[in-house]
Amino acid sequence: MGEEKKMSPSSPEIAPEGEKTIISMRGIYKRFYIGQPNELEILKGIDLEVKKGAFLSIVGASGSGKSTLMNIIGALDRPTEGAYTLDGVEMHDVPDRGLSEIRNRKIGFVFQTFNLIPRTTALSNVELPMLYAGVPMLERGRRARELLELVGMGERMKHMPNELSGGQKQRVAIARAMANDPAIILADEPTGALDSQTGRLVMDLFHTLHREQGKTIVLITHNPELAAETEEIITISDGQVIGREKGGGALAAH
Amino acid sequence: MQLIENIALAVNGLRSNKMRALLTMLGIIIGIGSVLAIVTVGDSMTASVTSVMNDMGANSIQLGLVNRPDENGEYRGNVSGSGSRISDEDLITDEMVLRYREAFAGQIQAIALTDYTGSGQAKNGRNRAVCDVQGLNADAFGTVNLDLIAGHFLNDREVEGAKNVAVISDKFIEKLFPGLSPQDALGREIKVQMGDEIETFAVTGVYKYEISGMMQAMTGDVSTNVYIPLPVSLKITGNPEGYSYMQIKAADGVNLEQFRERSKAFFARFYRSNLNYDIEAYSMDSMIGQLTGMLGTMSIAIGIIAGISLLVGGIGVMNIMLVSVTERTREIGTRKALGAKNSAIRIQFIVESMIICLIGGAIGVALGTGLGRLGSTLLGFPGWPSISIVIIAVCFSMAIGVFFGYYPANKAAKLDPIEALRYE
Repeated sequence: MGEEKKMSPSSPEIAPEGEKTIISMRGIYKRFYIGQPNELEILKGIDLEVKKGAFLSIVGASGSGKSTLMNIIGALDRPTEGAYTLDGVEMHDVPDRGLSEIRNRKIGFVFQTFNLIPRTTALSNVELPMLYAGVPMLERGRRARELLELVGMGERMKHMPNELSGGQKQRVAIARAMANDPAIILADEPTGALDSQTGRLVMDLFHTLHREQGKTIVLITHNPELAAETEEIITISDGQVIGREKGGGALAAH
Repeated sequence: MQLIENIALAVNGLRSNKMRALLTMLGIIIGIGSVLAIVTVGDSMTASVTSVMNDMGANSIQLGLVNRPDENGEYRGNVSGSGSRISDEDLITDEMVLRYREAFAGQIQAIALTDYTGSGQAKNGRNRAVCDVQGLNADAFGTVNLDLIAGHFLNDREVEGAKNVAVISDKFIEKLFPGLSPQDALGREIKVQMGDEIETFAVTGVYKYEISGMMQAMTGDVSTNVYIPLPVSLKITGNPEGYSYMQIKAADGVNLEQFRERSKAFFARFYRSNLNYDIEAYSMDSMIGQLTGMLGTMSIAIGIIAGISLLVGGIGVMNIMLVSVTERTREIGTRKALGAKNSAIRIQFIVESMIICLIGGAIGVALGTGLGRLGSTLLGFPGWPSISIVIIAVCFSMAIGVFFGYYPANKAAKLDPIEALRYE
């Protein structure tokens, strides 16, 4: 575990006893075109700590580096420099081929554009991460039904994505994200493609999951209003964390 | 476990794009179909010809004149063409045959000598029957393999006495004397017009006409054979007392290959100084061997054509798979984000490519079986493709799927998930 490593001056307070740390980032740098004249530094020493059961939002303008940060959190990419520990796994030690398993077991992605697999029923879409995890077929079906019921899509399990509205698609996607009971749900602008009313329903679903299921949720958004609903708001600008504040969700919860 | 899902997924994908899938499969369908059709026809042809030849006599050899090329390698003479005839002095004479009989005494069971008299037409009032008249010696009946249903074959007395008798087919009777039984036809006179001449023969025997394979396609006005004594035929045709061809049946227990070699060598002595003709002898074995060799060459040619068709088909599959990978870049990115390993993506696309080729192969097998059945039936030897060739065809089409699907599948597997998710 990365806890013993030396801490940078800007490291956040150490977690209180009993609260498990899910995400721990120390001095994360990400550079592109390394060694070339157009070398680009996107992340410039990010430190981040997320406790189990937290509902956190990362906000920033486009080009701030929040997408790159999300890719690193989601194990889609690796930092050029720095230590990242996800749910007890030191990511530096994970070989490239192992990243897919980390994504499969520890991360539940929710995308802005839903990204349901076309021509595949809602049920099969939810089963997909379990399929890749090698969960037996009957168990997959049982759990997928359960999750779809949970997000209120029990009536439309056999529907194809093109037969669902945007909000319904996103609810299926959220059920899919929870399939393997991941350490975090990583939601990238989950309401970005929805009208405000439907977006509201999706946000309510996240709140419900957080409150009732104790899910750890990381919400990436550029919308300050949505961010304000979460417990903690991390503001990124120019590759650095420039703000860290408690949000409304935290006030309401306490 | 994932295999079932992959297959279901591939079938789903194909179903949503039926036209494209069909066009993609076309190369495979044509390739597999043509191979199967041709192999089926070839197989049934070989089987049928082999059985026909075996019927003719497994211990027979055919011996006859063949053109001898001149010093420029060109053929001057003509054995069977209608243009020039073999001149009298070039033919195999009775003298040679006699000496041959003596030299090979005990080894020869029968020597069939024939003379083609010509085609003719018999009339009885308004009834007509067309026929091919052939002159035979008595020995020849041992080699023509006829099923006699009434009377007797030409015997030595009738042949040597040059009697105007004939052995005809039941079909011939049916046409000429409708309603007459073969037994009652015996002794009847038939008048056969050949050219300007009308010849009269008394019926001594009736054989059962069997539709031979090649003829079955043209069952309109069947011309059946009328067999008459050889001297009668020679008298009608004016042919010299000589032969360009004969069939020799070896006695039991004779080594046929050796017999063929020696017989050929025996007659070849008479033709050593003949500029136009030489002797060649074939046994059934050597003819079947030749036929098999010919079919083998044909198979190679067809194989090459089919191979090219399958190659083109395979490239078509690869092309469509590359399109599919590009179209589904986002899906691939999503799958990777959800935890699909590279190998899972690779297998997914290889399975898809395999399914395309498998369905194509199956359609090809159905098409090839149909065409093969049709073709072999038209040629008169109805046959089905063998199970092994069907299995080989299906396996081969799957192998094409794997081979041509690997590159696109690998390309999909190696996609960067971030790039793929961002793909519009």
